[in-house]
Amino acid sequence: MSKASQPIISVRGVQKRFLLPHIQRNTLREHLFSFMKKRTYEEYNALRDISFEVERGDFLGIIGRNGCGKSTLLKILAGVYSPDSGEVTVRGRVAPFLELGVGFQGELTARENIYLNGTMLGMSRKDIEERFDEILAFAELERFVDAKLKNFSSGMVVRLAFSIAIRAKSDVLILDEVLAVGDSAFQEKCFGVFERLKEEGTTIILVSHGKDSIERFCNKAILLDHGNIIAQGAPKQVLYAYKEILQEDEREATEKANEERVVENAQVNPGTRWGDGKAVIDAVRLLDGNGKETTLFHTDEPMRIEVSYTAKEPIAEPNFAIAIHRTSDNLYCFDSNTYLNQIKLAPITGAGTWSITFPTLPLLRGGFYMKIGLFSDYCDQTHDFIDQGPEFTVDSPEHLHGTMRFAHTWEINKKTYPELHA
Amino acid sequence: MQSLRHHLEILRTLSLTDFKLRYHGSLLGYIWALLKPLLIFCVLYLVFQFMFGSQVEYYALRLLTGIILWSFFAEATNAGMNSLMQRANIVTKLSVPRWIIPLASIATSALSLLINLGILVLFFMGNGKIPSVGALLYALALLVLLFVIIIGFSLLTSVLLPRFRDLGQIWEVLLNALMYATPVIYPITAIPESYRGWFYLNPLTPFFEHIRLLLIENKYPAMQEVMPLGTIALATLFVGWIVFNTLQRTIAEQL
Repeated sequence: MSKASQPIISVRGVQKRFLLPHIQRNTLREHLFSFMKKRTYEEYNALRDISFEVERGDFLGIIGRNGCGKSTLLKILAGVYSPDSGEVTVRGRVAPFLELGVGFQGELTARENIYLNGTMLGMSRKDIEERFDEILAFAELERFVDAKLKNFSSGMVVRLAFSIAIRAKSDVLILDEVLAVGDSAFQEKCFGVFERLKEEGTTIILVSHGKDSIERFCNKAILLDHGNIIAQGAPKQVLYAYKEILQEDEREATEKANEERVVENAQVNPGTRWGDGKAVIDAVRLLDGNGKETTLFHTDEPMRIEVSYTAKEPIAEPNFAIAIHRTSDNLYCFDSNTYLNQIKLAPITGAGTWSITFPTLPLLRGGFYMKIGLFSDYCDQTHDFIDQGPEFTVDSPEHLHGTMRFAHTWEINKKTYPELHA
Repeated sequence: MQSLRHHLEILRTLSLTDFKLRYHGSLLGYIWALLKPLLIFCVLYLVFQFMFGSQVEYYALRLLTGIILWSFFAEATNAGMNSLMQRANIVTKLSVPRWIIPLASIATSALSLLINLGILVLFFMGNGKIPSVGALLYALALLVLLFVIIIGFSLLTSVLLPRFRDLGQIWEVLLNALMYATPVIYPITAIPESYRGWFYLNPLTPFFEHIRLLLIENKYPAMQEVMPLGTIALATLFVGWIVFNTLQRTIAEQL
């Protein structure tokens, strides 16, 4: 195989494990006096079994949640960490930095720092001299070349650092979360540089939380989660998988929030609950088709909402109400009450419950919340109204878009068209 | 080959930056590098010349040589030991070979030494003492051996320090003791003959004595007295290198 057709980076079966001692021993005394005790460790598998390849000229995006192993992977690629097992082969020079402006000294001038940082990034004195003006011009700091770095604004420092970094001679450039800094004009300029580097065939590895930059530049992406690659390939697909993980997170967060939510305590926030208190809602339970309490529901499957209340005074014409809204944009999805459904109710007093059942929930994927009310005389008297009620999440086996799932069938009849023309 | 040149360039830049930063912002700037050992010399000379001045010839020259060598040794070992921790941002963010870092800090100390040696030359000339070329070369060779010991020591301790953080405190105390166990202030002849052997167990003693013998008395120490120093130097370097190479692989995680 010729050199050019070989991947510039191959990562095979890389694992990295950190042993986090339960008690850190950093001093001699700690080592001496506790060597009899067995050391106990928390094992943390930062990377489990990572394999991928990067071709020459690739613009690879690495994405994942915090703590997914991104930084560890980058450090291994850059040669700062060595893997516990597996191997990393790099055929070319990796710009050996993970952070912009490593070694910058506030006490030195911009000029001195360019030489210092440039050398660290692998440029010779001659290289730096040749590119000196270019570096300053790109950073827009010509006027401050002999000013001390400590007097620069953080934006100026980043501009200088970035400007040096992109001129480091290397076959692979690793950029970690650098796009988060700088004003939008400078960011645009950086994007311009990315385009240029991409055209020049520099291989770039970009780590970012920002989906936009990955979608815009990368031709490949990797999604890391808990130290595993769970998706790799075209950025669109990978980002979709990432979105799903994030939704999963959101769902878990909602569930947790629901567990912690006690309806009785909702009065703490008068803005989200009000009423005259003649009757109060005590609890709201969300049940699935098996009668199990949950906050995760599925499209076209049953959902049941059970509400218990206590009427402190007799209520002659009670009206039980419920509405469902989408969390992300407060979209008004559904609203019903016993009055509108023309259910004649006897007067209530004391404790009781009511429930509403959706045999086939028509909502598509998303997060929702409900409003629950207890009124009388239609809606003239509000006894208790919860404006921000329990949240729940809907999942769906299909990847349909929109809010509602309409029952539907498709019919495609190929024969029709030729006949039309005939 | 090209990468070695680049590594040396990093070493040079790091040590020069360090040196620049050390005297940065002070009124007298680099003059402090000259002034500090001179002032220490003045204090010690005023105190001790009554004690030792009559015992040996050229006590002032001996004292200044001792102080300059000692401050180099103390400064270089301290800086070398702390180098990796101090430059943690480079260790954890860049994949430059790690040996550059302790070596750069030693190089910084060597720059101070170079300046101080300039003063020493002036003092020798003022006293009408001009050592022969042979003696100078011999002294230089001994200095190189001292360098090798310091490099070995720094490689070993810089990589151990993140694991045993109190090495720094221990070395500070040891340095203090070592200064009195080495003939820096006093001439070795001030020690009763029967105890002198103990002082020669400290490898710094022969270094200091041999260099003085060469520069002041223009006499050459016997080869069999220098050979053990060479052995010690190489052994230190060897141990330092092995330990450094083994532990540096995981050093980024320790910092």
